[in-house]
Amino acid sequence: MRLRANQYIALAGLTALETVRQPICLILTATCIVFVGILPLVLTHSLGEAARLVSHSALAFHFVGGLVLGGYAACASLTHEIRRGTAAAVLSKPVERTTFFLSKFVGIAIVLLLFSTALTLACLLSVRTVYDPYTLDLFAHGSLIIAVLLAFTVAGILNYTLRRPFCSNAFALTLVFLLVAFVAVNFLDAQGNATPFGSRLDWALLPANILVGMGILVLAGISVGLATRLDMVATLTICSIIFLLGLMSDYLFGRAADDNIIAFLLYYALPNWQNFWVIDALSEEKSISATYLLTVGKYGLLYLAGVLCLGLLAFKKVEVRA
Amino acid sequence: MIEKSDELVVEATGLTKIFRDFWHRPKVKALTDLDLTVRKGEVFGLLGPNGSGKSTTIKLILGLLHPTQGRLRVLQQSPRDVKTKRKIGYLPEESYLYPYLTGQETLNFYGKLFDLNGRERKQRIDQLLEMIGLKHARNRVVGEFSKGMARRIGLAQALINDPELVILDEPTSGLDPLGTRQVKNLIVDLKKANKTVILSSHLLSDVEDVCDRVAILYGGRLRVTGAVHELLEEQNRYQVMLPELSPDKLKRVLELLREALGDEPDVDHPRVSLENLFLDVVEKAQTTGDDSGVKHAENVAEFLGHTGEEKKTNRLDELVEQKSDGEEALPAEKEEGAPPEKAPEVMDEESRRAADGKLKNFLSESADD
Repeated sequence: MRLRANQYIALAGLTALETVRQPICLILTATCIVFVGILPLVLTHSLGEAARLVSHSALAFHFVGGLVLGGYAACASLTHEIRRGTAAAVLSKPVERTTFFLSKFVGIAIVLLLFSTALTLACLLSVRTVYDPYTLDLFAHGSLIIAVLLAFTVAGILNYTLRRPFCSNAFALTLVFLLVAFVAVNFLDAQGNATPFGSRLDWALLPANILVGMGILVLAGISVGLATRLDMVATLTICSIIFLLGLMSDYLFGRAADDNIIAFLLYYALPNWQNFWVIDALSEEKSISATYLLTVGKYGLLYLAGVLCLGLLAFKKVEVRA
Repeated sequence: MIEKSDELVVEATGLTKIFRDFWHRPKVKALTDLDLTVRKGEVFGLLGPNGSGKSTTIKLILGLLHPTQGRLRVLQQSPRDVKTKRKIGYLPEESYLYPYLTGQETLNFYGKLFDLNGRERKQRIDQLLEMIGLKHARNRVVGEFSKGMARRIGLAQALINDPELVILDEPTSGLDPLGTRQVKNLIVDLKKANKTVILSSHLLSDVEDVCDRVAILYGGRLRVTGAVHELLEEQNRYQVMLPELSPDKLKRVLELLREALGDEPDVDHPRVSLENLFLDVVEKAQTTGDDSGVKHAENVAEFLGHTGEEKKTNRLDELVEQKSDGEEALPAEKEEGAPPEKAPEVMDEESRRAADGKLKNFLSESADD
């Protein structure tokens, strides 16, 4: 039991470390943060709808960025490892296939949670920038961009002086500086005067981001399951199709689910992303209750468990030829 | 010489492996009816050209592939049993390391998979890094390593659990001659520590130097198996090595041979091997103080049950030792009466001794004449 727990920790930790040390993870995270950060600048002439446009776009970056990162990480951790031979090296040790597969997912989930945290902070700060449509909140906006630039600079210095790996350090430092900037800036208003913490934030975006984070984890589960058998292009393509069909599930299959057995099966088999995408409710200024969060959390968890079981069945029979 | 136990470490009977395509139709028959046994404490060589079934056999032994037919037991258990894998160390053929981990992190990770506690892990990692000569590169990421350095780290990860059965797939691939010698010495040391080694290699001289028994596969079938010295020895022919002789003496010896054989014997000068020539060059270069990326060390990790204090038997060993001790050291002096420079005596010491005896008798007889 202790051995298995240690193996889970070692394998999940390694997967997370390997993922954040890959340049694509840093590039994707930094790009998403910077794009979310510059949204208030590019969305001009919004006729008072700036906050809505920024929040919608930021959540979309969060969801799509998570989809790509989860899909890529799943392929790098499973498909590539099976083909490259690293999986063979690990599975030749006393490691159960269940342990290997599930810990791969846990490692990817850790990275996705960090990604989600960074995008949530960026989303909150970015929307705060356009809190007042006629004043640009340079503290919120500047801190977001400076946090990323500073993280890259410090990681570069650490790499040059101490030979520390650049990508993982820049990723971690981006998170740390973003968190520090978030806390510091939210004690100030747009003019730099002291204000109660978070008084200018749209806190309703927090549960919306949490729900998107849950959706990303479900997508990552699907990617990990597919990555046991398919290569990266096929995995990302299928995930994108599932993503799009799941977004339109109510419209495409929900209406015909009572009369058509195929529509019924597809409606319940595909994940319904509308459950995780509550931006319409926010637009109508409805609040997201804790009960709703828990209900969607249970749905996501059950769906994830089902997807991981199928993935595990597929992986159990995989012959590691490399 | 360690007494061989009858305990079978690997026992394969009628082992067949068929790879199937996406539609589950048979695609390739990689192994056909393979019967194979590997005994405890021996070094067993798997030979064969590409596609002969060596790697498939190894992956079946490791439980990474499932046999289509036949029976396979490894350490008296199913190869898929996790308990079996606790006692196995495996060096895969291809790049199999996590490129973004450092050498130390790689070994630490594999140590954790065997549930070694922190102190023991650290101790073993230090000893293994010392043994493979990469202590100075412990914090460099593996992706930046040369092929030889990656091979060394791979070898270290295969030994971190102090395995009973060590499976090495092309262990000397990418290594320089000193590194190759070090790996061969390590295999001999593992054998001395009563560990079983299965070695798959295309370099036949490596196999010949260290293996007790070999199996030659071709087209997925076992063609030949047996002890190396029995397979290589030509029982009905003899080779006579003579010291430098005067033309008259040589003429007399040849006449004698012609008379005895009734046929013309083959006479030629022995050649220095390329390996020895290379070592001469390296020996001279070492005195200049230049060094390569890998520091060669000769000591086998203590936890593997061997201290590496045995007397070095040939110039390669001396060079390996000399390089690890420091560039100033000079080659160790040969013992008086020691035989001239020769290939490593791992396999055929007995036959060599017998040949020496025959030669001495022959020469003394010819001198009397």
